[in-house]
Amino acid sequence: MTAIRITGGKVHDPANGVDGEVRDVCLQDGKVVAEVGPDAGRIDARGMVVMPGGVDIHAHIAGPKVNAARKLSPEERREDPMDRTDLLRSGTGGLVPSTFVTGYRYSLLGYTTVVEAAAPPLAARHVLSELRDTPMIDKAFLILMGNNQVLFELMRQSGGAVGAGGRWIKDAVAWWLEATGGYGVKLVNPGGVEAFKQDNGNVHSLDQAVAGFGVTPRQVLEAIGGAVHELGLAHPVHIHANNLGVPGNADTTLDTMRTLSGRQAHFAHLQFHCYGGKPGGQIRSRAPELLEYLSSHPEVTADVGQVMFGPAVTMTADAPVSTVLRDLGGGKWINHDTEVETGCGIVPYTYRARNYVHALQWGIGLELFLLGQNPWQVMLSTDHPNGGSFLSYPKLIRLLMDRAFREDQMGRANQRAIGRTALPDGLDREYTLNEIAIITRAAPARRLGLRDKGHLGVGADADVTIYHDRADREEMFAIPRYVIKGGDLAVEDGELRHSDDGLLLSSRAAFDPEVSRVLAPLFGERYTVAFEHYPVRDAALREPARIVEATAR
Amino acid sequence: MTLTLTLQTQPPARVRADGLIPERLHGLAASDVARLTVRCGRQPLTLGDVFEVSGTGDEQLVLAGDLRRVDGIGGSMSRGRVLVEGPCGDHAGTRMSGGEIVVRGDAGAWAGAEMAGGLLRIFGNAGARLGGAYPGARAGMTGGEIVVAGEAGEEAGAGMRRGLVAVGARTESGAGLRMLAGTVIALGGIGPEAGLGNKRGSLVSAEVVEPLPGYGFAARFRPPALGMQLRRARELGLSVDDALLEGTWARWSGDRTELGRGEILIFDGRKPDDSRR
Repeated sequence: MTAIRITGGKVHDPANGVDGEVRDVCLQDGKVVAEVGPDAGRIDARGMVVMPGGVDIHAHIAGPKVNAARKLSPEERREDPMDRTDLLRSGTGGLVPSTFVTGYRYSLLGYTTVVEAAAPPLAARHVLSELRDTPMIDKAFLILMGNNQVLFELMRQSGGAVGAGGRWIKDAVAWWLEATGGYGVKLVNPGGVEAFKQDNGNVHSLDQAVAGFGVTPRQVLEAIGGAVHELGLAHPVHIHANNLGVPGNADTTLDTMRTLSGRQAHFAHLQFHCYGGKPGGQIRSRAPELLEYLSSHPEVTADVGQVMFGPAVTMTADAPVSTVLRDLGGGKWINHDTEVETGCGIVPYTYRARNYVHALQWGIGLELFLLGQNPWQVMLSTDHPNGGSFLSYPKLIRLLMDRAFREDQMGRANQRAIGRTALPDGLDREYTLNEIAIITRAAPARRLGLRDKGHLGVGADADVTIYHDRADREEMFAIPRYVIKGGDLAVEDGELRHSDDGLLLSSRAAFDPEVSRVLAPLFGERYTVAFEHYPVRDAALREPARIVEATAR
Repeated sequence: MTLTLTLQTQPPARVRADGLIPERLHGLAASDVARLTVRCGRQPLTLGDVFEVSGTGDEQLVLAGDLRRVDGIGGSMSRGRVLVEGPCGDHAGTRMSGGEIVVRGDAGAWAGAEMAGGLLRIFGNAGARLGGAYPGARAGMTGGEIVVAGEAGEEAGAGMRRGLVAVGARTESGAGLRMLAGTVIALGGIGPEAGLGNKRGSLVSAEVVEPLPGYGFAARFRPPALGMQLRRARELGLSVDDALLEGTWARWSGDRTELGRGEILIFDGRKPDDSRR
């Protein structure tokens, strides 16, 4: 790792209040530094745009469901092979690329940190194995805890409350992070997936109890959300709310937000959760209401989960949603259980511009971006590959930055749907480069509690992306001029120059070791894996890792 | 002048020859062609190392020798003619959309897989998944014609959506698996388990076979369209008995585990005059 001085570029570093100033950025030993010596390497960035490396707060890149999706669509990957070179490993692309290609392509796009947003803790070994083979990017994963029978049992015993018997829930959450190397906690349709596994059911409101446990989604939210909040994990509880995609689900989403009121929470792919309309009817947009709630509740953030027209692969722990999608398409799909922890469904899916629902979903996503007042609260995602591949981010950025392009694209979509959004009502907002830097880097990094990422202040990781300042923003963001990862030049003009393993980011919070005595018998009753074999101890999987400590509240 | 590649020594591993099609080699001199590389196992292979090349690239390409290790001959071609003097490997004519391939010998598996148009003629036997769909793909062959003088391997016409597969002898088990539409004719009879998951396709067996339980007997008749297809097969060199053109066929409709609008036509032997009306 040598010293590098990036000179003459327009720097967009919103976390440090730098908005397009021409200034030098100095890198040494993998960090941003104030100054480097005269013999440092130079990158001439005159006329270019300098940003911190991209940070993806919500994507699906590793683990059993991702791998199942790879196996489900060999016909797609066969079209996009990548040969081995002296520097790079071989692999396949497509919507769900192989591990190596995932790392390479994220890097080629200027991203340096990616979060796998839904990993069954039981599959942590698999997730870690794949992440260790996903080069070029730093990565973390969130563990699924919203439908775990052992946690349900603890909640049942404690009446759903944190405190008293619920003390163990906090310890259990911390124990699980320690056992898996996970970074944060994800709730997916809390209670609903367990109901689906029992009898193809679901939960439709926060107060509908899950059979056998008597636990309601609201209690799960309070117990787990509360535990994560009190533990003070770097990243707050990450929520895929109940009733995804269901008309009228905005009520559920708002109810979920209010339930967690005052506690930190991140809502994933909000676009899928802000619909009006009656159950069984057609969806409407209630994005403005959700945004209004956000504007008065700074403790809540969201990523959008924009859908992009074209092929996608829906993959979710929300198995009941997958059965609905399966029935819409009638094509191949996968349903899968992970023992007592979670479920999973995978359905290849195509979003069509002429389709009313798809066009409305597209429009609602753009509403969230364009009507939202605070870009620090509403971040960019396509819920890769659910709403579209991460490779469509440059096009999404152009939709946000270029009104004429957006209107052209609106013209191609279902007009009845577009007419039901705020888009045609003179919505002329165009994102600035600084706002793009916020929603793709600064805000996700801050929300993930990654102090060294998403900015270019002294002490930050030397993850830098340099773009040509092109009028065509899609082209600009598709092929960065340079990507620097950890102080090394990783990408130059669309070519990988250097191979790097990337870091694993894990999170840790203190817990009472006595929790093992509480958990062990519950494991014995329910898991196929012995309690003592459950934690991942393989050094090659766990290390090296950068551990982010929690700050208890 | 035709471009001719004659195999001199067996390549060390299987060769992918997808790019060797008339439209790409057009106008190239023999020396240029000899310098081209193809993939051989994991390594590149210079054509001149194993082939003797003569002539100039034009609309006809001749490949000669024991080409059983050479896969993908004529793959993705859209025009011209490829003549294979000898047996060839797998994937011959895969995804071709036009032109003609003639194999004067046996062809391996996946011949004509996912082909969209053109004509593939195999004088020997064909391997498995003739005109089939690759793993994961919903549709196999979507157009064109495949004629095999000998036998066809397992799952001929799997996932077929349109087109004609005509086999002079029998097909192995599983012909027309998950067929969407199109026609598979087996003059030597279709093997067991034919037409599983067939939606709208036609399987034609000149020998008596027992259809799967998903099929139900529908009628005995002389299907007019079948006569046209059989005459076309005869035109393409298969020996189609007049009796097949004149006799009646039993129609079994299925597969009822799927859409159920497909059929298996089984030759009934009798001429229309003999049939009980």
